[in-house]
Amino acid sequence: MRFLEAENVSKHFGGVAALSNVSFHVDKGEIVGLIGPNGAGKTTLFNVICCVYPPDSGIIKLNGSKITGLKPHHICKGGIARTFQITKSFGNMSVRENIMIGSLFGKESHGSLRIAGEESRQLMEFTGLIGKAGIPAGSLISADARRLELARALAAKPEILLLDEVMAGLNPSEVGEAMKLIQRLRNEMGITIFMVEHIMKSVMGVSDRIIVLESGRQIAGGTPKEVSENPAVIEAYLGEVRET
Amino acid sequence: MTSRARTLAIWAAILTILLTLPLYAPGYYISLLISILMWIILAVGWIIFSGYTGYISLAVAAFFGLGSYMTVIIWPILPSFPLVIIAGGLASGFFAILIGFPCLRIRGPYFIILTLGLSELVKYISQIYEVRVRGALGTILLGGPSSEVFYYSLIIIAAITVVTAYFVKNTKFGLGLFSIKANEEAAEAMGVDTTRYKLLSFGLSALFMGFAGAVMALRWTYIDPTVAFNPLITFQVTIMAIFGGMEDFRGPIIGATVLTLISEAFGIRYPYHYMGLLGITLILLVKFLPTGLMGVISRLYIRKKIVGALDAVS
Amino acid sequence: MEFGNISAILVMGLTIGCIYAVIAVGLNLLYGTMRMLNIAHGSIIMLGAYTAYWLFTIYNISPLFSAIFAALGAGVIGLVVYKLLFASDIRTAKSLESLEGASLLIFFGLLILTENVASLSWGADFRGYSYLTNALTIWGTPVALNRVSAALIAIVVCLALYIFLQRTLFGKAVRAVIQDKDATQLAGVDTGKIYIFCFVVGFAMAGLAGALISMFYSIHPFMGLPYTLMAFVVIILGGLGNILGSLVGGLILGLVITAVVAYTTPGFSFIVQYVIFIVVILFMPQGIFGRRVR
Repeated sequence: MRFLEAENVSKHFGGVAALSNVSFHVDKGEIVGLIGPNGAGKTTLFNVICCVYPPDSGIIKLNGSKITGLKPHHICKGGIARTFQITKSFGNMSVRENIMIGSLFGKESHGSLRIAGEESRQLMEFTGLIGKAGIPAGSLISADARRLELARALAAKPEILLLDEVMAGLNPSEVGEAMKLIQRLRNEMGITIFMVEHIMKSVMGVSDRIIVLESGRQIAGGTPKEVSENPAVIEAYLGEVRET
Repeated sequence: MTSRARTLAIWAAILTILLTLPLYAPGYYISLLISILMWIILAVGWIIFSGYTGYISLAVAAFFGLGSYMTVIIWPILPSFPLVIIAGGLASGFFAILIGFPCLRIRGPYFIILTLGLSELVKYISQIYEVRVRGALGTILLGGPSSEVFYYSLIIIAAITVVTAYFVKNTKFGLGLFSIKANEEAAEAMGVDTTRYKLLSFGLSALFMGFAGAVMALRWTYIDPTVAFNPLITFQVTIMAIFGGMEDFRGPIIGATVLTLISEAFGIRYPYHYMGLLGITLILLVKFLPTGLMGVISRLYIRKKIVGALDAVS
Repeated sequence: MEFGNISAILVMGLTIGCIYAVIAVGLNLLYGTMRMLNIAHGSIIMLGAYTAYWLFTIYNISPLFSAIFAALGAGVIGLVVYKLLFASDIRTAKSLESLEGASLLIFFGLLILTENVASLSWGADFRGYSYLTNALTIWGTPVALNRVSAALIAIVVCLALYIFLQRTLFGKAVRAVIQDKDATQLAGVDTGKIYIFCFVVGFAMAGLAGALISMFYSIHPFMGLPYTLMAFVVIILGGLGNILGSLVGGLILGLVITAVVAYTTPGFSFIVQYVIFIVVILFMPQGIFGRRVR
């Protein structure tokens, strides 16, 4: 069942085409990876989906209804939550309060600080942050900051989670943990996952399908095996220093 | 006694002293307190928006003055004290929400300048209105209530303002506002309707400033655009709040009290010295103590708690 | 003052516009490179005005000459302000954006401080003097020689700065910082020197403008803020960081304000400026000429 769809989405900045006629879909319950060299338009696509800015043309649909033109907070309440490539935590608020924001204002928004606190505690346990509950988010180390981004997004009770390079800067064992966590999110919590990643091994290992962008265009799509053998994809990545 | 009960007891004691003061204190102290209460209302009202969302608004004079002008318009026709207060507050509140729509889209320093210009703009418009339409600059307001009535009204308004500030901070609304301050883009992405929240807190802030303006118009008995929309009002409120601490209602209370006392002691006689010192104080505060007095106090308090916890463990 | 015709508005508007230009360009230098909105810019103008006033009243020195002293003195003040209040923070800040609000408040404190020190030192009454008041006739309009000479000096200074920024190596480095501070730093340019340059020259231009203005407007400690606000409108109009844009913007605003005052009242001029400010910020934040992406 088509859950998230993009139809002919284009976006320019100045004279540069960040996205050109990108169309794809994500089905409910899938884990879809979005890869491409630097500057391919991956974060731009996320921003368009989350209505940070509108596309110049094309539409995005969630569950069949058009979501382009709404405001970001509507998107969140509609069931789409995201993490940011450069973590955007609420720096001077505590870890606990950061997650509470997601709970209070997300999909099942409510007004109870007590419930938010309880949900925050559960998510801190889930992501291993419980020991740092009272610490200001701005003083977290990088790996913990990413855990917080994730926990906060989960607090919003998303149906689909957009992860923007959530594994950047993690060491190999942390990457393995992250991969397992992502699978748990889909298997146990039924969350559809759409993730941007640079680390090939991780995204290939965890995704059902992969979409490849280059210079704003979609150049390939399919199973991880198909994509990794696709000559156009290999071509696009030649000349880039890559981690394998 | 739990610390919560202790805090409430302290506030109750302060309130009792304030309420019974006219019975035994000379008139001068009542006047002084009327001044302090006015500044408390303005400063606490200010932080409800600027302190919680981080949008520094220099439009205090605009909202205060609007409240005053509602009194100017209504009092000659219908001299009802509660009416002018409510009208003053509501007028300011609605005006804030109205201009909030375009203005709150603007971030950072442009917003600050925009609000600074707003106070001046309202002043110029009032001047043109008074000269062209009414034919006279300035209004004298006679028949205002007694000092005691002013005193008690301001206590009530101040109490409402303080309680509002407290409750806003400790509810979902407050967390939302603070998330806007911390990272507006992330707040929006997390489902916070930033536009609505900013408008609401801006309007609330202006409401209280309008109350104060409406009351003081009668107290001062003379209002013209320069008096009502005096930029010094904005400036002093800002410093009081920054000095005391912008994120907690106790900050502006401390700031308002301390600075009003200093002003009474020597600022009235040496206004330029006093203002000049305030200028230096603002610079020093921003550079070295941006969280204000309350920031220092809460950091010390947290440190004490941590030390206490460590001691308990060892 | 009622002018009947277009050429009068043109002449008066352009002459005052040149002054607005030099004020705005000074402000824009600071903003373009360091994202600092110097709300105390007007206070430096005020200090320059008083300098010219005292030098003329006591020593009979021509304000056209004291303009140099005013500029130098203001430049020194700029250096001191930079070193004392901003240098350390700029070095440690993660990004210049984070300093914007704080720096504005610091400048605000500076504004209050200078206005009140000036009031203490020289009293709050309005002062003025007469110099070069004989009139020239340009395009059929009589204009005081003091205005014309002020306009000429102002425009020459603006053009000199523009040429400096375009032709010299250091000037190009300044423009590079306006475009992209981080890239310029990575390229090995000593941004510290550039910041000093901007503070010194920016303040100097304000001091110069003050000395020139003192010839035909009254002087008092609180005269500065309207010029600061005007300068903000101009730099938004012309594009933040766009020096030529501020020059042209200053001329345009000079014409607009002169026209407004001619047909209505002086009070309206502020309203018009404010409306322009809001409209540009909301709908054209990059300004009429702006290429600078904010």
